[in-house]
Amino acid sequence: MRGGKNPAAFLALFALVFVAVLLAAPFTGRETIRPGEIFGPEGTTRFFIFWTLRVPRLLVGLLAGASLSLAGLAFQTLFRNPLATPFTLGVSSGAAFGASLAVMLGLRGAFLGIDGTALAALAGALLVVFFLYGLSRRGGGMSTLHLLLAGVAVSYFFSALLLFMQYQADFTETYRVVRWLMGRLESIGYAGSLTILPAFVVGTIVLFFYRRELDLLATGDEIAQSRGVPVDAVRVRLFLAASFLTATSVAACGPIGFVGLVVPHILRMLLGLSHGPLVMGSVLVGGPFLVVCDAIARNVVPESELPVGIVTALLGGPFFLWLVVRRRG
Amino acid sequence: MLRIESLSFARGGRAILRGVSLSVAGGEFVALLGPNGAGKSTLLRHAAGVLPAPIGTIFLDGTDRARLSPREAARIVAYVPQGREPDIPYSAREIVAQARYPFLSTWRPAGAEDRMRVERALDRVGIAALADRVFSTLSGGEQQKVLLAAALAQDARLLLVDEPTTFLDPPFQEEIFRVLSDVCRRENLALLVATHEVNRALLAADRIVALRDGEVVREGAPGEIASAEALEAIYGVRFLLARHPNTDRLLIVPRAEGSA
Repeated sequence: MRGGKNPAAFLALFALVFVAVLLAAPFTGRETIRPGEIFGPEGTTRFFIFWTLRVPRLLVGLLAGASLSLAGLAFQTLFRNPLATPFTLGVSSGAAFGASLAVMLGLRGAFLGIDGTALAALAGALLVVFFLYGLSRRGGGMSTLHLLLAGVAVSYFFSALLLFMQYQADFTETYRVVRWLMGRLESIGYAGSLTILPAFVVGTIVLFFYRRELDLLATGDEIAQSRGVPVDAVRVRLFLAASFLTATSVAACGPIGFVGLVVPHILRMLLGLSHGPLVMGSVLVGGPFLVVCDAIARNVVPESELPVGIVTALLGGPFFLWLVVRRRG
Repeated sequence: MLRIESLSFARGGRAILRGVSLSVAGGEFVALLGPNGAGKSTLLRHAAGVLPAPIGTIFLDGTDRARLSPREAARIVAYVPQGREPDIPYSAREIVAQARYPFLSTWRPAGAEDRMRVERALDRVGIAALADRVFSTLSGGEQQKVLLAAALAQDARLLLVDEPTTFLDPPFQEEIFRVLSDVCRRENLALLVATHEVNRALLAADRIVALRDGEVVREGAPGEIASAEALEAIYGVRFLLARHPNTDRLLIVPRAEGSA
């Protein structure tokens, strides 16, 4: 059934789509910009819209979409569970809580060139990942149902903490955090992209480097170990990479849901289950997917901009349900 | 090829293996017998490196397993788990191709040689026609063959096989044992097979090691094990034995209803 798949052809197609989105997105929107206008003169409105609003937004969308897709791919394989994603496992909530806490406490500054908010988000994400991993190891494995229920419980727990924090904070700050929690790409300048970029580069390299190990982990731990994979060490590195990818995306854009679910699943249908093509596909498709969702969000309600998280949730929710129903059948 | 020296292992306060020692040479087919819970699977899983390090030493091709990286060990020993694997989402060919892992790296991707070995392994166990089928859609016997083919593609010199015939009908059982004997003789593989099929072990194995309650209770050629006394020491039950019409070897037969 999977014998006839041709990953190379699909990847070439994805690369074309990627380039098309990259070239088209910053020119389109409420204000259509012609190619000649992007070279100046500086100070024009359109020059400003292009270089200060649209290009940063495009970049942060490409990076966050790719990172969340990669994280989803990794979590699904590591937990051997098709419904595991940063969002459904509560990893996004943990990261959101960490980031909000950092913002509310006024923790500014950076460490080793990584934004402080992103580090707080990383701490939150890691806490959730290793908590769930510990749970799933107890008693030799965890069913889909239990894992997802644990994820829901974790999400609720952190949502409650977030609500508590918002209740304590002043009105403007709360409004900002609420907007951020909906997941949005609107950023001015390149700070968001710079937050995600290191995690994206490291995460992509780690996942691609461990593509064969990921294949074997998807087959089974014992088989992987007997083929020579140092399973525990590899798994910890992959969990770190996936958490890093999730945390920096959440720090920059808020918890955008379902990208990490929809993209890996569509890729598996088209590319098969080999992680080499899947990692490349996640980068090529995840980014444009989020950018297109953002374009829909910007244009669907006139004179208003929906947060992109609402659009991905509207698309992803039914898809998630479909997966659940199909699995039961 | 495999030498185990006084291996002990306990889990949850219960001793599963108590000072087990055994060895398997290249080209030798050793059957591991013993009742359920005797420690056969645990022993194999330790030798395969899928359980954490026990007390005692496991030598692979003369080297202490603890001093080998997982990858180095995987070039010496391959493991065929029981056919009770959770659903594996890959096709048979993909699973067999994954077994080339210990020979591949970023700087040495899979090449023509690897693909040739994968196809040969699929042929060897007679599942070339099923190669593109997804594992979870195959029957128990076919799944067992896929796992065996994968172990062969790993090019190891020692094969550890855990109850290869548990869920298989008689023709499949016969075939699996024929393939095992065949690779053992022709490719000089060392073979350690845990099984409940006493008769197949008596017919196919060069030597039999029997475990009971985590200890070796009997060890010897099939002729020495095929006695009512030895089998009673292993299983705690008195068996009836009869001669095989072709080979004249003693095998166990079920007691007829009502006879003594």
